[in-house]
Amino acid sequence: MKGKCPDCSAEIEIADDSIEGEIVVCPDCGLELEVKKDATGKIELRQITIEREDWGE
Amino acid sequence: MIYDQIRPEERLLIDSARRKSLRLNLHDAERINLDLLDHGKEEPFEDVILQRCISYFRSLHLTASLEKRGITVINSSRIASICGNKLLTTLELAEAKIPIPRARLAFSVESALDALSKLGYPAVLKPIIGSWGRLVAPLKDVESAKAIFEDREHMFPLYQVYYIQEMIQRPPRDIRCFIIGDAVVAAIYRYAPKDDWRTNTARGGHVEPCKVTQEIEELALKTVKALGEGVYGVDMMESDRGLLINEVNFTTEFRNSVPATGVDIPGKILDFAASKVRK
Ligand SMILES: [Zn+2]
Repeated sequence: MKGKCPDCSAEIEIADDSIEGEIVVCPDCGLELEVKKDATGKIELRQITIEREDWGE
Repeated sequence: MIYDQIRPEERLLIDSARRKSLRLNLHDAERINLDLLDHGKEEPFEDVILQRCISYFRSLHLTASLEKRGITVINSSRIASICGNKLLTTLELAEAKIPIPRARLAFSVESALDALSKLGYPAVLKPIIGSWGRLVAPLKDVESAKAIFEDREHMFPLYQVYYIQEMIQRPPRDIRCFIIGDAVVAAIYRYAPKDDWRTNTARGGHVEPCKVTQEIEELALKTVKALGEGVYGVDMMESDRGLLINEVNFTTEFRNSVPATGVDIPGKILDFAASKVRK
């Protein structure tokens, strides 16, 4: 599967067993992207824009 | 496993489970809704659950709800509630006589400044909840402290709980030690990225393997004794008083530590979880 970086339009390889919520890093610009599926099941890469206040390890 | 994002850590766990032929079902936290009174008649879950939510609030509330169904959650809600909160962590570790930096608690700008005069400058203001160094602020002198406290007065009430810690003189690195079950399995040095005094690798520092010394091991085992067995990433600082525990992470990140140490951390986490499955 292939996706597109929403920022720099680089083509990104997405593993076939990727699941929703999976984080991929754009090899060109280093942006962290999240794998999302739309209603039709089509894969889309979305930029992770928020780091919520209670996030951490 | 319950998750809200598949970070490299969760991907390593999934791949490791596949190699071990372990059945690891995935639950997206956003798709869960629980009946809190009808314990588990609908929405069945496994006997053992790895809690890997990045969100502390999700993690804590989900874990507590699942435990009431008799499910073993790794880590437990007790561990989550203590380790997700810096103040509660400090209290538990202090009670167990584990060396930690001095810290004070205050609830107003005036009292926070008084706390600082007792601790001495420089010091560090930390939100009691939150991680990756977010909103951690160095307090260099009275003026900068005042400015930062005034700022916090306009924020969510959580940020008006002033947890102030002495600033430890230390090398620009800390030690992250991994505990799985009741054993220390690996340790790394985490170096602060340039232009940043924090050492959280999520913020781009680099790591190097660290030998698990007797001192590290003893401190780590004391921590397990205080908090119970589980999966931890314990952060230690090298001070002139010896090692001090700075933070105990309970949904620990290990993406950089596996290649740095050669230790199969995801595999060991899964083995620990599997050992909890009722036969
Ligand atoms: Zn890109």
